[in-house]
Amino acid sequence: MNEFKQRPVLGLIAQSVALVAALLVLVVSVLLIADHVRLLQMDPLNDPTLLELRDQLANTTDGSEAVVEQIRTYDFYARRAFFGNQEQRRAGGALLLVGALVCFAALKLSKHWKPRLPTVGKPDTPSHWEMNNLFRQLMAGTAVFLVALSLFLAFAVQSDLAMVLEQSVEQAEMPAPHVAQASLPVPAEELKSNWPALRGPGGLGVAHFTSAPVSWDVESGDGVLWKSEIPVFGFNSPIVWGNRVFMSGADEEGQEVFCFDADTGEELWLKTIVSTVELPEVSEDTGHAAPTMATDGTRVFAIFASGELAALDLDGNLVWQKNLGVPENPYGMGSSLLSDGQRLFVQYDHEELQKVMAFDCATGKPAWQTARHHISWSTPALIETEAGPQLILNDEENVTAYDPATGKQLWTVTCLGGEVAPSPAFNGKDIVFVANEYAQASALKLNGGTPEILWQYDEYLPEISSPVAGSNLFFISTSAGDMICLDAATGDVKWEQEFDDGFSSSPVLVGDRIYSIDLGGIVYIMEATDEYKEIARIEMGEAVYATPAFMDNRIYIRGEEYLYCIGK
Amino acid sequence: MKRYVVPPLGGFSRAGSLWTSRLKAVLHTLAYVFLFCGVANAEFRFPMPEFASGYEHPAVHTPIPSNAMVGWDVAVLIAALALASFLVLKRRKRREIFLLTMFSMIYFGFVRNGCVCSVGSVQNVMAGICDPAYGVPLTVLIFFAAPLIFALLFGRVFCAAVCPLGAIQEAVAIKPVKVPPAVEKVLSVFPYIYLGLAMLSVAMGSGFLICQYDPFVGVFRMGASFSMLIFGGIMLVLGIFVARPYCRFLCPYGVLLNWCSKLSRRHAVITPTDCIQCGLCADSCPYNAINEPTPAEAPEARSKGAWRLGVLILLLPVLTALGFGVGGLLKEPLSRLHPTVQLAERIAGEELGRYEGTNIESEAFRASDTPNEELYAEAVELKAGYGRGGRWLGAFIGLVIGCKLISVSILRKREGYEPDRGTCYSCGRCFKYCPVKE
Repeated sequence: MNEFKQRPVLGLIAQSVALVAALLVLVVSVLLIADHVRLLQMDPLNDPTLLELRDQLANTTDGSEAVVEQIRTYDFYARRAFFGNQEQRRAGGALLLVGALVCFAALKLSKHWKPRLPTVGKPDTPSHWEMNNLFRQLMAGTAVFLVALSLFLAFAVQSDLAMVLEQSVEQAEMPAPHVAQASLPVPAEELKSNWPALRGPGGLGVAHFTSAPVSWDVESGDGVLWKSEIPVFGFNSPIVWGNRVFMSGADEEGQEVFCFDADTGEELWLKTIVSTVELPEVSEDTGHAAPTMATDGTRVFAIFASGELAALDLDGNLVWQKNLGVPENPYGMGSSLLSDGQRLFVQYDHEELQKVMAFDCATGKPAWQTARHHISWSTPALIETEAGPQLILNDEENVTAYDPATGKQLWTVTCLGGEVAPSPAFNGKDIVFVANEYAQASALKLNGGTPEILWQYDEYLPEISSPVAGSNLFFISTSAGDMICLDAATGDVKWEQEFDDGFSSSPVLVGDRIYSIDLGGIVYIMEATDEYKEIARIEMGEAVYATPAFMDNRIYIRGEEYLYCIGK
Repeated sequence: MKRYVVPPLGGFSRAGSLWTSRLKAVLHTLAYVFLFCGVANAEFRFPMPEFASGYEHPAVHTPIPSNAMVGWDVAVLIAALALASFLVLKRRKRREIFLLTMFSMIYFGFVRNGCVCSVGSVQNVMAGICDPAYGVPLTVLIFFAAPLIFALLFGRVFCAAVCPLGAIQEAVAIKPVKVPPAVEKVLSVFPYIYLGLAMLSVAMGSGFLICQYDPFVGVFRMGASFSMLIFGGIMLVLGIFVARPYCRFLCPYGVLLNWCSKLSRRHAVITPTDCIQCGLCADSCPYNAINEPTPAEAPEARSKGAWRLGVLILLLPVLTALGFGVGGLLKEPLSRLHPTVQLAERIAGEELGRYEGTNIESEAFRASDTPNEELYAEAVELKAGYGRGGRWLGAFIGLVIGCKLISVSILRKREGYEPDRGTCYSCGRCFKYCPVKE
């Protein structure tokens, strides 16, 4: 019997049958896909008509029988449609399977009737020896691949469980009487009447004092109480406690903290903070001393790009120092410090590790730390709500609130994006505002749980400068030189004003005025009202990156080279 | 092992959140493209109808599985194995072998829904070894042992015409192309890895991996989970051009059959008498399972080959030790196979605020009032077990790679074209190409 006998006609018939069956399979597949997509979009028991009927029933006092009957009918139809559809799908599946079987059977028969003839001669394959060599090489490559894959998996698969267990061990190791060792809380009023952090009390950009100078002349010295040279450059802003002004500066040579007499401008002391690690490479736009210091009234705290965190007393004596690990991020450490008078808060959101930490101001011992999940250059803000204080942090995706006493996450809202440097703002009552370029500005209404997004705005957005909020208005200054005022409750644009230079410094609300300084060193003073009204624009004569400090009718402005005290 | 009960879904719910539903929609679409999506059953649930008349819903009963067919299955298996051996060794007709293959696909696959299955029975046996309290049913034991015994006697006749998984792939192998032989040999490591993983999974109590990822059971049962459906679809479409992809590059039971078949008392031959080395058969096998005659002239000195072999033999313990070390690093990824570890990681992730809200498993766990610490402790213990198991898995894979390197470096004398006893499925394709008849 010739097993290679060719039967071309039968072969052709089989191929035709296979083609028809394949087309059937294709058509049934498309129909089933369409049906399935339709079914996925269906939600019969949440159908608007049914929900409306249920509302009607809920609103009737006598349990209207007509409405009940309508609901029953609707429910019945929904069930019948659903189960009818299930039957159709099952039938379609069976048809598909039969079609596929026929198709494969016909193809097999076509091969049987038109068999492939034997190939005479040795097939074109590598020789026995070449193949063995190739196999050994490929097998060695496979072994390397498997090892590499294993190592990748071993390091890529991170364990949340391990992190939780590590945290619980750390907490267990903390001394029990830790709270008792903590600093005595500084009265809130005392914190408010000073300028203890970037953007003032709570880091919110709102001055406790309602008046500040509106006219001065740097060139003639009119209205300028003093002007002092800054010993070491840094992008950080001045903080003020009592009659002392504190700042930091750093470069490849070293890390310094310095203090000026607020009345005379005399440099009272300069303290070098010796780094325990090699200084990292940082972006020129950030430098080694971008974070602004903070104070609890008894000590001042400074952090540098090296991750070195130091506490000094007001006379410049080192109280404690620690290294938090060299931050790894593309620009360098940007987040400033904040204290509630008892704890020092550090937002440490870097590439490999993101966390927020609280240290006891007096001893530097960790009070708590909470893991976070996204990088950020933003600074925390401390707000007072009806439910108690909340520490608000921005990152490249979320705004998150923590309990400042325990570090427990209170809520989180996803509404940010891009590389976030601006900090949150607060209307002093119940609305938190956040904004960032490449995302949007959002107003979050506090309600005891996860806040509701009241409105969003996405036209002019800040890149570095933080927004500020009054009770009714919300202000944004951008790196492109725009200043925008929005209605705090609705997000409606009240006014937009374009300036010549961009803003790195954050605007500050002082009474009913907004103070904002552009990169060219021009101070704009405008009314914080729903119509743009400029009060003054004053040239400082040098670039200004820092946010000014306002205290007791004086303004402290850090220029690129000089620190100015405006006032009397 | 503790299990946490998932609370019932209220209302007309889709199983999972909105995004999961969307993901499922995409996966569904893909599944349909692979022809067999139509058999997927929907996962929707309606709430029980409410009756104002006071009608009470009858209690739901789960019928006890019937054992009526079990004895019959064993008889059919033995008969099919015997018939396959006869057809392969005596009748030598590809068409008859293929018809028996189709019978097995229909009976063991579509009629008996692909279970009991010899491929999966490896896990039952392993479970019986690891846990003395686990009783391996006699039927399962027969399904495990019979194909191996037949392989010891007559080669892989089970693969040829009895295994439903092999049969469905054989049915769709319309235009098989040859995989380069060296690549084929390299890919043949993966069944060992799969076998090792499946055994580790059973030993650690994380379930029957082979059944969980059985690619064809969804087709046999006319319904399956998405992963099974997609995997099966891929395998069948691939199988049109690369014959028996699952058997060759994944089947863990094939590893055992390969070993037994190498020692087989009798095995299918291409030429019933003496091979005339015409080479007509060489191109007929899509599985690269025909070994050519050894070339008369070696391209290198015998001493060089011997030296290489010596090096590879010395390398064997090194590779095993390397695998042992690297395998130990896989504690974290391997342990994610276990549902308890998955749950503990999820709960820990929720504690860290990594997820928004809970999922259905974590919700069930929290409703159980079990302290997190208890779950964490169990997960830590399991992870340690996976660390130890990972080492042995790594050592096993290192050993396999070493043995394969040695195997290919040993010179074997062959006078004519012969089937490779380990990898030949005895499908009979080559029979008709041999001009030498009995």
